[in-house]
Amino acid sequence: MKKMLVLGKNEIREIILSPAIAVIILPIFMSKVIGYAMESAGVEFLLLSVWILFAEVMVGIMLTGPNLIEEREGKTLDALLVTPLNFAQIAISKGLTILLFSMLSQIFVFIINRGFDGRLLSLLIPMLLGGLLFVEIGMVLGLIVNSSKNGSAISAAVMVVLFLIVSIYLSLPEWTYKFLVFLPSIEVTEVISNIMDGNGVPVLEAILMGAWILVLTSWISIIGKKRY
Amino acid sequence: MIELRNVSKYYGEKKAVDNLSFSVKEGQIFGFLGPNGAGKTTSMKMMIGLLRPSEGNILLDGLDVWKNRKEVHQQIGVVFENPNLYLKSSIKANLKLFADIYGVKSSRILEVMDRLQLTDKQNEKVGNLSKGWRQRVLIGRALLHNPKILFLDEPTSGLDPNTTALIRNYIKDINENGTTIVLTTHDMHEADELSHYVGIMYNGRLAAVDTTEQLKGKYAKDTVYVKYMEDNQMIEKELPSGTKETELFLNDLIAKGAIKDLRNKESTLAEVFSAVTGGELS
Repeated sequence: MKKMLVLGKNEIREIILSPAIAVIILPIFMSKVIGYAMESAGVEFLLLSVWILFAEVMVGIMLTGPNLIEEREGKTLDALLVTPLNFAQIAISKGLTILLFSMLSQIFVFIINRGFDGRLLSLLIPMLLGGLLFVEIGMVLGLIVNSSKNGSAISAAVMVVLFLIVSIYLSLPEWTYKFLVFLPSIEVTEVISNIMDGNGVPVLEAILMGAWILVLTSWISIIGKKRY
Repeated sequence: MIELRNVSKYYGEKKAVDNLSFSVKEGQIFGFLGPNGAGKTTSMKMMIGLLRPSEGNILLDGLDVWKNRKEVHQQIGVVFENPNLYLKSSIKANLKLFADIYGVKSSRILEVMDRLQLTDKQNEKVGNLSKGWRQRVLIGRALLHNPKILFLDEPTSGLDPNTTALIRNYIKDINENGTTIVLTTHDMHEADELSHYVGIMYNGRLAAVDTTEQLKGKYAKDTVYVKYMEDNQMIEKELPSGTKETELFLNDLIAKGAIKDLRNKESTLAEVFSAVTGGELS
């Protein structure tokens, strides 16, 4: 556990020292600036739940994927793997560190738009699970893509698709929801917006979110066991 | 100390390492030689527990390396060919990270930095350092926990002659202090200068393994170089050392006063390598 904390501390320093820190700050400012512009124009285009999702997707995918590929390419992962740490410990400490940044980004998106609202407390668990889900997606990308050039492009493409679909799915015909509900970004947005609106937790979406987390955890574990 | 028993590694259909068996004794410097693509790095990755052998097993002090990676990794240090350091962090931060992972005291970081003359540069970002300095940091990182065995993969590749000499001196010094060393290199002079025992890999197989002296005796011979005048012409010859024919020939030249230059030429590991691999150079 102590060794994982050491590694997590190093991870935090590496992220803070790199331009990737923008990935954490960007959703906070974008949500405020675009939200303000929309409000001034009298249009409500993107809901707060979508901005929280944006923070999850952006930090989870864009930090975890390229970061892991960089460690694989630069062989710093090999250097860690010949210490008493194993792959699972490295992956958990990396994932939890990025999840911490994801939580910070999501919480600040909420606070900067709504202030210190009591609903934030009820959102912490969905934020944590949503953040975890996208960190895991980033980790899978980081493990299966073979170069940072491809990694950034693929991570960006996945991020854009997952985010954009959420900004339009409400205007699509109702029957499409039967299929779209299987997308993690739709599930996370639905869970968050239902809780924010005081409608409780939507069961199907919450179950699917949990299922995604289980599938992704198993996938990462299989890749790790096979490769390391 | 390390024992490889019939170790093979397949990548799909391709056999990268074929039935490798040898052992490295405590206190030795074992030079692992071979042209590029011979299987040296794959073998080393298996020895350090980064790759699982497809067949056979590797033991370190009787422990199976793959099955006991955690224990094995406490006992080994690895200097990779790529300078795999955290480039955005300082020398000290890089060393501290690994010292903390190994549970080593901070005083040990200072000791290692002092030994490798890194103290003055400890706060410099690794990304700003030259390859030679990065190599010192890599060696320092691998030594933090006082490993019993140090694995070095091409430690002087791409370095200038001065830094190369410095790194080689460090390697000798580390070995003299009791650390067993496994050195992977394609530099014959390096292997010749440093190794007590040498294994030559070729096409995934261990083509020869023995002490440097035994290998030289078996695959290459010392020669005598002679330059002499005959019929107003300068002639140069290389003759096998220690044979009756050579002795008679040289005595004849001496009697005639024809010798202009005469030297003993010791056999080299490069000649052994050439003989073993059929002349293929890396």
